[in-house]
Amino acid sequence: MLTVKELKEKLQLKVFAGNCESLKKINGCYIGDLLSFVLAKGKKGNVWLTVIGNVNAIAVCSLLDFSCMILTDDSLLDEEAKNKANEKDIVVFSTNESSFKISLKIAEFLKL
Amino acid sequence: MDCLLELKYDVFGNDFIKAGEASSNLKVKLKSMGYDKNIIKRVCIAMYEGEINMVIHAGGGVATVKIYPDKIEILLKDNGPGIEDLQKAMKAGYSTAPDNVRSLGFGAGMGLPNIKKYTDEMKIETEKGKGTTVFMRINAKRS
Repeated sequence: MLTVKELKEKLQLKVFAGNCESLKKINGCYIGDLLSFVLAKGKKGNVWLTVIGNVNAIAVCSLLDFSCMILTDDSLLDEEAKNKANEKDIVVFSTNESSFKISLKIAEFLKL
Repeated sequence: MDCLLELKYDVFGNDFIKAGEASSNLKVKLKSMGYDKNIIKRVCIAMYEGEINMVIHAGGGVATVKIYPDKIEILLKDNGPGIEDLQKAMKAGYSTAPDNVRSLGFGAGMGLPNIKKYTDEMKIETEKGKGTTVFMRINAKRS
């Protein structure tokens, strides 16, 4: 089992928004930047790896009940998205690593 | 069966900040009414895609949601330009979204295909220059 809090510590993620001490469970990972694909394929409890840091991404994250999202490759979260994420308690992290590298590590942590 | 609740949402054209609020509000309502979580997910995806379509293409519109014990019905009505080629629009990957919208993560060409995939019934009426009406039904059960 892997929680959002553990993920943050293991990957040394920077926190952009939300409660990073969250004990929400992580069950997998979805990578994508086209919101319609994410909507169709993402699953509840997934970590979402993306470069889209706008308010629409927060809406998708909330609708699908993702455990958290990670903005990879140093992508930024804009101010409106940050406010929305805090309002909806969506955890948004940032990393300078690529989605590929982060997903490999998540797979390792989940023993997939 | 009687309609338990009717909701009306105004959707504003080109307002990507408010986009998704209707779907988000509907999700909370359906959760509190005890609908199955997979049903809620399907309703939310279909509603969100429909909402976004009205934001991007139609200059906004009105979403009316009727919640019954055994089904959820959504009617999206706009006075936009209409869908030029409905057959193409239904094809996965076909998009007429402008570049500025694509950079926000939209324009995958999966809007209408996703609605079709996640609903039990979908009907579209569209007239060039007059607008589009999308009706969707999702059969439901409460847990």
